[in-house]
Amino acid sequence: MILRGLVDSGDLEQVIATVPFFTWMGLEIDRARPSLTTHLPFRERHVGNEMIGALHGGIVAAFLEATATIALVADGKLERVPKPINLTVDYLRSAKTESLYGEATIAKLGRRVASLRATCWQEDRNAPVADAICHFLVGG
Amino acid sequence: MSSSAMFFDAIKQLFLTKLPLSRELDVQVEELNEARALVRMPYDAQFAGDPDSGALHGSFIAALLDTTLGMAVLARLNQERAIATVDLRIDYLNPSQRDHDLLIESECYRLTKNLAFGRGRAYHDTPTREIASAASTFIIGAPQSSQINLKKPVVP
Repeated sequence: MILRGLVDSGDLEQVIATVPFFTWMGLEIDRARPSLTTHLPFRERHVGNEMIGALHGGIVAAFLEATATIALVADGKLERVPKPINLTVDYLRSAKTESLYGEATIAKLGRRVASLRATCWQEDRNAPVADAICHFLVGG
Repeated sequence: MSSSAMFFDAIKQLFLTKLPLSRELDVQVEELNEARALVRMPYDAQFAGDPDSGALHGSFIAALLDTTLGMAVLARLNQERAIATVDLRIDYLNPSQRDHDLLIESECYRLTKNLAFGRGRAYHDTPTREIASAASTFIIGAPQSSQINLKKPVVP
């Protein structure tokens, strides 16, 4: 019920604050960029392996799904809280122990299913760390 | 302890002590061998996705599946190698329930010279009622790029 109201309001920071796991990750919206960009400031808890100093692949996956969720809420056409159906992550580069930035586009918003493409990068926008395809149940 | 058992123990210690995510969770490795990895995590509200129902966030379960898939591949390799995830696919099948332990089970079902294929699932008490299922592919690094050194046991 809490989320329902927030999704309707489109208040992205409040949506993040309401989802415990998003808060645990430290998910933010990067308001300095012209297009909707998510930001995951580096935290020790994101490290996958301390010996090689890389971000956890699972955290990268979670960040991509969160980025897609935010893009869907921001679009403002939802009739219900989107329910994730699946997530496919294509790991392109090892992620360094630095901030991650993410962006997602809606490939198709159907009556029942939404399909999104998400990408994330670190210092270079043209060198993505990982991409994802996410499906959500949005109606029916 | 056999050399295999020592190796499985080294992977387990690596997971429990060198991975910040598992240090933050009250997680237990119930089983780890060449056949499978089985991890148990007691319910923790800070990983919820829905504050009303208390269900864990799907992508948090995805992160746990990614971890146990890697453990299963390392165990199946049974030698010191670095691995990297090429892709990961998660299907969200049922919501998880508040106050229930989450079990995450993974296996490496095909291993070649360069690649490992893994599948996994998350559930509460009934393995057949899956909360999420996972499939992933790993590329196996050269032997010298190892992260686990059996001669120098991982100290907790």
